Amino acid sequence: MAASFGNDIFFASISEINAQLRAKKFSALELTRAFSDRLDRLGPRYNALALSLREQALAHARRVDVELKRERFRTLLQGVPYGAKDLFSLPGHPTTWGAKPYAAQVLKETATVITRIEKTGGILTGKLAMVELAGGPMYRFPSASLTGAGLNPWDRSRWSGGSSSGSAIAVAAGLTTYALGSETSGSILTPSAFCGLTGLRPTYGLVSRHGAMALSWTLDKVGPICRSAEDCGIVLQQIAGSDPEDPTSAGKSFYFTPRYARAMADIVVGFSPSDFSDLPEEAARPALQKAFDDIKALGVKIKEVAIPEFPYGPLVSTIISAEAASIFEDLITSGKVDELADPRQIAGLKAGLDVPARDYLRAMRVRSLVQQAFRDLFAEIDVIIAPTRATIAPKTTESLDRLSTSRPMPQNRGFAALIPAGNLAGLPGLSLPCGFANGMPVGIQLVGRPFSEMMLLNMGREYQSRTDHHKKHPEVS
Amino acid sequence: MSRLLTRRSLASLVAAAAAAQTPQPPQPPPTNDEELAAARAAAKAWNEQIARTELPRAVEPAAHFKA
Repeated sequence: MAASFGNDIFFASISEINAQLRAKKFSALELTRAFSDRLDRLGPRYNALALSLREQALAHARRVDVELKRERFRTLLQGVPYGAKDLFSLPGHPTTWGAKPYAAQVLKETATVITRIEKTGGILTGKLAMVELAGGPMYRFPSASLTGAGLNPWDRSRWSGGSSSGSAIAVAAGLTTYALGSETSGSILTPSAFCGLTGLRPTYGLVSRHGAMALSWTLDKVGPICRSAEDCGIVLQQIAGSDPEDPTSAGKSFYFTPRYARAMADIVVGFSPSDFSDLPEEAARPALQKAFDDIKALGVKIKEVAIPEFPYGPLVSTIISAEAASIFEDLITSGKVDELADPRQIAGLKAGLDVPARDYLRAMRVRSLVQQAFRDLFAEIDVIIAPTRATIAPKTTESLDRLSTSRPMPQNRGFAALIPAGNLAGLPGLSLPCGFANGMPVGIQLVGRPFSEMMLLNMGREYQSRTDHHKKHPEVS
Repeated sequence: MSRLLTRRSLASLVAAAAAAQTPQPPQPPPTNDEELAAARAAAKAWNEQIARTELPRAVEPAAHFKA
């Protein structure tokens, strides 16, 4: 008899689903069919689905069921459905990079992260929508995508955030249990915060980028978007590790062992008071302040610190602009760049070809100073805490220019630039849902030293063991 | 202290309020050339901001990330 699934299974954790699979409460095939039905039915409603992989997923689920029947257990991801941003290549299917000029592109290689999850029995049910070319150097409107603006499951008139828009929507709406995204400067943390999810930007080099579209070789990172820190740790363990196919691979592995993580009392958390008082939009302040208090209540030490002074925005913009123009030189010079959806994206790519080498190298040299300044800062503290975003998700029709200019900025800007700063320094960052403002999710971010993922995830896990923000989900039908 | 409201000042207040309520005509979207010029100007402005950071001669471009 076919299993019937209640709504809860679509919002269950990886461990819960895997335990039920092992206990034979349902088969991987039944589960995959249920998730695929939901993804195929609801994904387009939120502009989240780039490509359904239903048939391939069902065939994979049958193979997993044979393994489970023989009690050949692999990892907690075995039999659990997931989705991947459409910037990861998968042979035999289009990999569009969210952009019209690549709508029919079929690549030969399989992205390393997809291979790694497949080996553990994780079931890929779909490729997920994204902002075209992962946002490129710049874009003006949330609609800068082959599939249209990502619609937030908490309020379809609002944006999901980008560029990993479909990844965040799919997890928030219970269309997949977790998803893979990528971040060059904010593309995992922002949609995670806007959609009420837990997203991890790993240290640069920890997760292979082989088979992932390059936007900026020196900034791109691949990471998970999940409902909880625990799930992020489980996924990271499988996707992290050395890869000879990725020349920037750090050659490090990651084992999710929270029981061996540092005690909370040994952790010093740095913060800037204005991040919780003046900087966020007013409606978001109570949730952010409460999150700060809840983190303090874990028993960590707290220290007021200031972000090192650098022009983070101009640095990250110059580096992305120059590297993206080189990566997409063919697209730009062929004129096909004009097929992109967002005029600012088109202009930004074209202008990137004119960035002088000296400007790029100056930015990269100043970036060395940024890295040193953060090394110095992390001699005093272990973690930085700040709001992931100072605002809730904007309306899909709103210009993203307005987002950055509509509110007066206070004198002390705290860690407002932590997303570009953290990306420039290659630091890991974890965004945790921490409540709501005007009915929309709000998130805080924890940023640590390179390769301190275990500490960040354990802090997130402890925080989530005392709060229930990560268990809330929108009504989706 | 009370203020005398003259007919002239009342008229100017009403006119100002009406002007404030009148929707501004929508700005035409920038042309492609304007977009490109703006993108180039932005890149130039970024570089000017970056150039204000004191950069010792010995500093090399970022390449490695250490734990």
